[in-house]
Amino acid sequence: MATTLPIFIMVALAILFGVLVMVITTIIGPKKPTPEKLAPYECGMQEIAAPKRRFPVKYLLTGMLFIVFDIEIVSFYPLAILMRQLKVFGLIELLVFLLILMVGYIYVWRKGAFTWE
Amino acid sequence: MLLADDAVTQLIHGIISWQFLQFVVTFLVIFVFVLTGAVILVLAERKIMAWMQDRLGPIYTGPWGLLQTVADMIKLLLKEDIRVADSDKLLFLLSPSVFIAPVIAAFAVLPFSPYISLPGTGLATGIVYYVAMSSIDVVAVVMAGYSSNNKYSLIGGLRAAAQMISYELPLVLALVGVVMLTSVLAGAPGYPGHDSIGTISLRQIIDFQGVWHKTGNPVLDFIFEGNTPWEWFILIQPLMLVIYYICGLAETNRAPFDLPEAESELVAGYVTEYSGVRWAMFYLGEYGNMTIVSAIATILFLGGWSGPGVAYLTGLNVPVWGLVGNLLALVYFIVKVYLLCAVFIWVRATLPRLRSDQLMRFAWLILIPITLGNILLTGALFLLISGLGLPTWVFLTVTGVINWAALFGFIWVVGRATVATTRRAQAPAIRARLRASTTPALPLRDGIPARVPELP
Amino acid sequence: MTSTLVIQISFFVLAIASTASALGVIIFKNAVHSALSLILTLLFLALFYLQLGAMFIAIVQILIYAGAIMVLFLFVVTMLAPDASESEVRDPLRWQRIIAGVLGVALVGALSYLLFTGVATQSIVTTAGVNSLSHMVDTRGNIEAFGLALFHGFAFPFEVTSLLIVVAILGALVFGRRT
Repeated sequence: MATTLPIFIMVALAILFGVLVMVITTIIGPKKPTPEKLAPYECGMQEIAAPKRRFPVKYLLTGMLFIVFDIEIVSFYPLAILMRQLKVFGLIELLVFLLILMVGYIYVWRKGAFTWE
Repeated sequence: MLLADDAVTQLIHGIISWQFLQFVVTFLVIFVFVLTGAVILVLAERKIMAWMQDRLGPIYTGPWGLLQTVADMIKLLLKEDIRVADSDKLLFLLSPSVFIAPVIAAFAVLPFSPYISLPGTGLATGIVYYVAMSSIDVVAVVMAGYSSNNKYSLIGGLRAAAQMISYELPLVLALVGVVMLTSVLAGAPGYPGHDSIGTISLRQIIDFQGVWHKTGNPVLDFIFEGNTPWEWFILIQPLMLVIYYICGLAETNRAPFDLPEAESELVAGYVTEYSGVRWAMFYLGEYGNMTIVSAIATILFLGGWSGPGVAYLTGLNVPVWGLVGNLLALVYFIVKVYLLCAVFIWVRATLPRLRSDQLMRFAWLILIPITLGNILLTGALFLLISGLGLPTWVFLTVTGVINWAALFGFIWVVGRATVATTRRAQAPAIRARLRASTTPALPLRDGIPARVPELP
Repeated sequence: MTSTLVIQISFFVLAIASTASALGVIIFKNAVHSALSLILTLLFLALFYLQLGAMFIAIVQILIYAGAIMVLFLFVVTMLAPDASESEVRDPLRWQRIIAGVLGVALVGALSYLLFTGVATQSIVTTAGVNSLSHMVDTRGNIEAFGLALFHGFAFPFEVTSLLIVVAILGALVFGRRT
């Protein structure tokens, strides 16, 4: 089996690159902060209210469904690879799995998870 | 086998080995590709969009404006690094790094040429690795949005997250079809793989699209060895390429899916509060993502680095010709990738931005059912045709024909859906106009209406 | 052997890092910080899998949990005011802490008992021989072994999982509606 070391090194270098650029910019950039410069941007106005309070996010149900489908995807790849070996059994297994999930999908759809106004 | 075993053997025995050299070369190519890629793409975007809109684009810096983005880069490096007041300091400073690191790491799976790809590698899991890396980007986007202490950033970040996770699903599902094809083809004469087990390694998927049985005629062998456009998976699964590409647009927050950074409502979305190099990191990441989406599409559907002469020259086992072959492969690959990137820019210049309800419904109600259907259809077709005892090429032809038909059906459905959702959104306005037209004309005084009609 | 030494060192480094980030999840006052700390913990877990040579499982770990954490994020922003979660509010359910402590000690005790007596290593899954998973991984590779195990050996649990997920969706829907 192939080694995982090159991937490790690559990821480490990528992280290093990200951090290094940030360090360099703090060193060479000028620094003259003023309160106006540091104020959050609000189209030139004084900030009315800080965003740190709770507000409804419409995407919560979308997120829930995402986890479901994510798990499904993960099981799809092994199935696709082994498609010829598993034959009809694999396809039926997949169909049953999908059908059960479709019940949830359709229920959430009917409950209005996909309506955004 | 264990990681550390390999680590030790590699460190002790092979620090100056062929493999180590290969790693260094690949690593250099990746970094050069990522860093120059953004510079080239920004310039290309400005120039191409300028031509399409009958403008000149940048022309002053350098000959023909070629040095414009280089100058921009230097300016960005020297800019002040503004840290917005009352922000979540740690997350604010970290999120550009978190955004850029997975993008660069994802490049590790790309085979640039027969030689320039990471050696050995645990890249048997190429496709899934790329998807996992792009899913980390979502976290960085939300971190940036949350920590900026700005309403536009927060809303932009959450929108971006919802969009990215929604489109990640059809993106991954669209690629399953290709993996199924490799499973069908594996072990057939000339094809790689054994025991009819498919692959999700990008390197092997290229090999699956370039099977040529040597004829002995050097001219034919030179042109067609490893370069067989009639075997490219775009011919068998064109709809999946289109869907993958659409999802790629959405994943990278490019037009027409650029709602998270819709200037007219959200300023710049989650990058509103960033300046200087931190801002540049987000854009470097975005253009890197664009490149990688194009690169994966090239590899899976367009034969990767295959082109005339590559496999023939590298197969000669002469170092000089091997070098030439690899350079050719690199050129073919990069040309294909940038052609696909040009399509990104073309789309941006052509299409208007979607509305947010259209955006989400398109992913959940159109793309996901279609991609799921494609997977089931491919599986069922294969079982049916192999059950009847027919050869593999029948299956490939039937799948290809159905997929091409489905592609035109898809375009029709998208057109209908766009019209229908636009009608629905415009319905109140249309009703109001109808009501206004049925009310009697207002009495005139001195040639103008006596009173202004009340708005419905 | 040097290689076993490297394995042990990397294991302990990972163990310390993952434990520290796991502690961060419960120590941070800000809910978003806790969620991010959880991501870090899960990434370290992925590295553990990578150390064991299970590339596919490691990637799946990243793929699913990065997504799952996003949902947690949305929960936090939707249902908790970040400012309120930072301030020290008096816990209305004080007795929970005592029970949690007792249960925690019991869990640590049980786990260390299993670990030190070696009961946990005697698995029901065959660990050696031609039919074992490790043999399959060596001969056929990671994903193939995973797929064969999933679709042949554990077909029924796999199907039941989908049922579990549907129940989870319904639960989420109920909670999501309430707010």
